[in-house]
Amino acid sequence: MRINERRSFLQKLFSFAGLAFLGCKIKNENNERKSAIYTRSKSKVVICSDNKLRDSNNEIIEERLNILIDKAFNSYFNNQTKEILGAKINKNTRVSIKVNCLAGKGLSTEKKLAYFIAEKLINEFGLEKNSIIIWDRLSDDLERAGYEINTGKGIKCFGNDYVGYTDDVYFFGEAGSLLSKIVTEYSDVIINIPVLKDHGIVGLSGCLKNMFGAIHNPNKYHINVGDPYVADVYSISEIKSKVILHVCDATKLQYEGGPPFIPKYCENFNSIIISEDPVAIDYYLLKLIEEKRRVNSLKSLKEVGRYPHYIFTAADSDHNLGFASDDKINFVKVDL
Amino acid sequence: MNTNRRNFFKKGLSFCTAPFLLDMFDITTEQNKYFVNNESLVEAKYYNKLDNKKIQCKLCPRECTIDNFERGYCGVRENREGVYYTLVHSQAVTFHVDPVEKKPLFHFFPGEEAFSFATVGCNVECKFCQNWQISQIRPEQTKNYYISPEKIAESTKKNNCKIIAYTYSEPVIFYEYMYDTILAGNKIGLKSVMISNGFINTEPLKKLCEIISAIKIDLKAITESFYKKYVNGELKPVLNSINLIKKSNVWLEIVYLVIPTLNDSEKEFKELSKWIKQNIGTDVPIHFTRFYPQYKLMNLPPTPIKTLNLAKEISESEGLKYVYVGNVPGNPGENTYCPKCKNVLIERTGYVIRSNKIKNNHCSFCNNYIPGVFN
Repeated sequence: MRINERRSFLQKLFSFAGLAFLGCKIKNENNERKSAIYTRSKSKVVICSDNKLRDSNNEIIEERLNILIDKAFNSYFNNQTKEILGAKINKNTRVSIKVNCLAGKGLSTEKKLAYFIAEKLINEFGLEKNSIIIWDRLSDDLERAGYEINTGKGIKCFGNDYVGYTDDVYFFGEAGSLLSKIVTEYSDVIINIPVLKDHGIVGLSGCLKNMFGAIHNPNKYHINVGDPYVADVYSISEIKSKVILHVCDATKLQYEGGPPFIPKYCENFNSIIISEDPVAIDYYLLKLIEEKRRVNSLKSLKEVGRYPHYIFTAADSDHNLGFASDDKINFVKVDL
Repeated sequence: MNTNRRNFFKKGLSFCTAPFLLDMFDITTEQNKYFVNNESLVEAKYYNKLDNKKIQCKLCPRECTIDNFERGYCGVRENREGVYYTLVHSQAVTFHVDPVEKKPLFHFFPGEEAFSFATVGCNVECKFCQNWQISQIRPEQTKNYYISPEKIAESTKKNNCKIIAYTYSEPVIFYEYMYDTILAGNKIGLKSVMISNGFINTEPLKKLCEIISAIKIDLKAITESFYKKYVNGELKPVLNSINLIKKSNVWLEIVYLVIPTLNDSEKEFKELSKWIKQNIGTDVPIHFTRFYPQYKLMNLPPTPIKTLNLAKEISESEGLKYVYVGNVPGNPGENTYCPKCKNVLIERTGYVIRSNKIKNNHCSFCNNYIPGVFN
């Protein structure tokens, strides 16, 4: 009995010490993140478009896409991409690129876009090909979207199912999940490349929602139109601290019927939207989708009970993930 | 603690894969990948087809509307091109032979062993889930073992068990697998018991009650607010299920996990007891079980024994006849007493039966009728 008590006491003592240490770590991460967003009085979102992006067969012209991406990066970083992003990425950094491939070939992150960004990291920051992983929830999802699975040498491409999830649960707010080991063990930083689409349950699938692909139990967090779960999942320290940039593939825009690809509700948008602030991009995507719904005589997301309040929750003081108001975001539109 | 439990499950699974055990259970080592062709999947029961290849699940009160290539809240049923499939039919994640007292079922073949198994998945998310490592994950995240319904029935008999138990996670979400296994078991004279949260729609439950022998329901609390905050579910459908089961010929027992500060007030114990008395009668056994910190509720202490004893006292004072204390080995509240002469009828220590004085559903001291399925 006495031994048990002693053991229990020591366990509690060490747990407490561990928690205190962890608490400090999380606090520091939060502060770092705050500084990333709030040292500016405004967030910046660049919307870079090219109305000649597609050929007569409606296929994306790779050269023009590459120019569009470069232009978006240069506009966002004021022609100092290497200097500014270089503070977070160097030749030894392991970068993972999170795509969104649930909807198959019709409405997934363009493979050309993901690989061009990977090549950009290699050419401009000196990364090894082996240090880059393009990933999503399942390898099958990637394959259905036209990606080739590569677990060997070169730029890797696979789903969470290839490496599995953490043993421990990571918490923030209402969310508690195991995390993909791609996030916890194989990435120093993450570049998020979502698509621009309506979502049948949570209203909108953009930057914040794309990180549902990093957890083991996304099915549990679609309730209440994803609020506060989408914001909570993104706020898990391992995710929030590692995602450094969002490059939204807005070459298409689907304003109804998502997340699957429904051609009749999907239009070419021929744009790349870039920011370090996921909330600001999602706020912009929300306005785009609502406008497209209005033009096409569909009820607004609010009217159909799918208004993504989680975007505004993500901007509140508990989450601090970015801005969701016009006066706090500098939208820069660039046309090629 | 969590990691230890996870390791425990991992070891449990490894143990199950030991050749002698696989041979004992007669279970193939063939491990099916869950992403198999649609042809080898089993179509789900209880769903409606909607426009644009959407479907609406009608199995549980959540009634998820699911887009193409998406899954419901449970994570184990998937819409593929407008057809809804269960991904876990014949895909057990864990299996074991347990005493039926472990379920707990105290008035159903006391001392018998039950071949118990589960797939992954659950249709709620209790913050205190003790099996979250299998209930809160998806089939592609675990090692699953192909065991057909017929093979389970055969293995149960081969291992001298009379009972098949659908347990550990939430059997409602592997409804089709459970249903087919019950039929396979019934054919060779086995009994089937479901250990469930009761969060299921009326139609599938009615169908189930036609073939199953006993159901234990985890009634998590007697307030909607608790269900909303700590379960991500609803109380009312669970109460409806309890009423429906009682009206059928299925043996019913109820478990109430007593969680310090969350559902342990005298008022709640009284309301619970009154509801049971008014709706399903005083003969239905109720088990007040002890909470241990788990999953997302690691900040609370285990339930004090005195709280469990108080719950038993209140329920008995409200007229309930078979009130038990669980998860406290050695507590006198584990025993079955005759409500008339007060003698001990079944003496238990943990899951072990020390003595059984019930003869043909009657007290061997005063001949009082004791409800249950004892023979």
